[in-house]
Amino acid sequence: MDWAYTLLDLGAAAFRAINSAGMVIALVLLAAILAAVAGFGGGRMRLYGAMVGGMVMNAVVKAEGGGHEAAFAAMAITTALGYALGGTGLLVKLLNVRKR
Amino acid sequence: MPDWYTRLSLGSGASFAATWSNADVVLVAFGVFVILFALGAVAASNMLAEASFLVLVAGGLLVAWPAMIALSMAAMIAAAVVSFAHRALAPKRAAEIEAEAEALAGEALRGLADAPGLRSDVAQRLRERPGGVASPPDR
Repeated sequence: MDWAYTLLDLGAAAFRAINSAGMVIALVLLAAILAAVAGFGGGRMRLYGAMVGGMVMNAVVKAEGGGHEAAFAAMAITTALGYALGGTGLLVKLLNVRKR
Repeated sequence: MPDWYTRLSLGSGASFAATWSNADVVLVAFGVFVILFALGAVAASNMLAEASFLVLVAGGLLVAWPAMIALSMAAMIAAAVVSFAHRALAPKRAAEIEAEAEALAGEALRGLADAPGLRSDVAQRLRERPGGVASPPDR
């Protein structure tokens, strides 16, 4: 279980580097949308879509001064969340949002 | 290595890979990506195309963010050049790939339009999109 604690520690370091909950939520949502759209091509494509979102998170963490390890942990966590959340249900929810 | 590259390599900073600079990692990752992507296009192999994507991801993880952006942009340009070359050299295969992609996109839009819980006006708009997402006969 040590690896999980290390991953969470590094994820917290990445979160502190970004220092904006809104930005983190937006990036996870981006990964989930990319995973959902790519997921129409199959399960592996869904993973690749989530990975692209994870790489965007990786770049943002590095740009905000987080280390390589923290950026990698943030990428792994974002990819996992994007893969888990990114499905047709998410797209349906987003498409159902009415413009004000 | 030429003098300009040595200067560029020293100026680009250290990467996450020991003893390699950011420029070294970008150069190697880009070279491997182009080779795998071109081979994937020639051999019509999904596995090689996926391997080229994973090489880009690995390269991006190892370098600083400006180098990541440079690597991504170079890879996009290289992919566009390879795609144009493939279209010019093998137009029949390129047309088949485009038809397959359009069929896949049409199927995806149809699936989304028929998804339970989607607002009817949004579903209608998806069905009216050019590309022929026809209304199902029972609606």
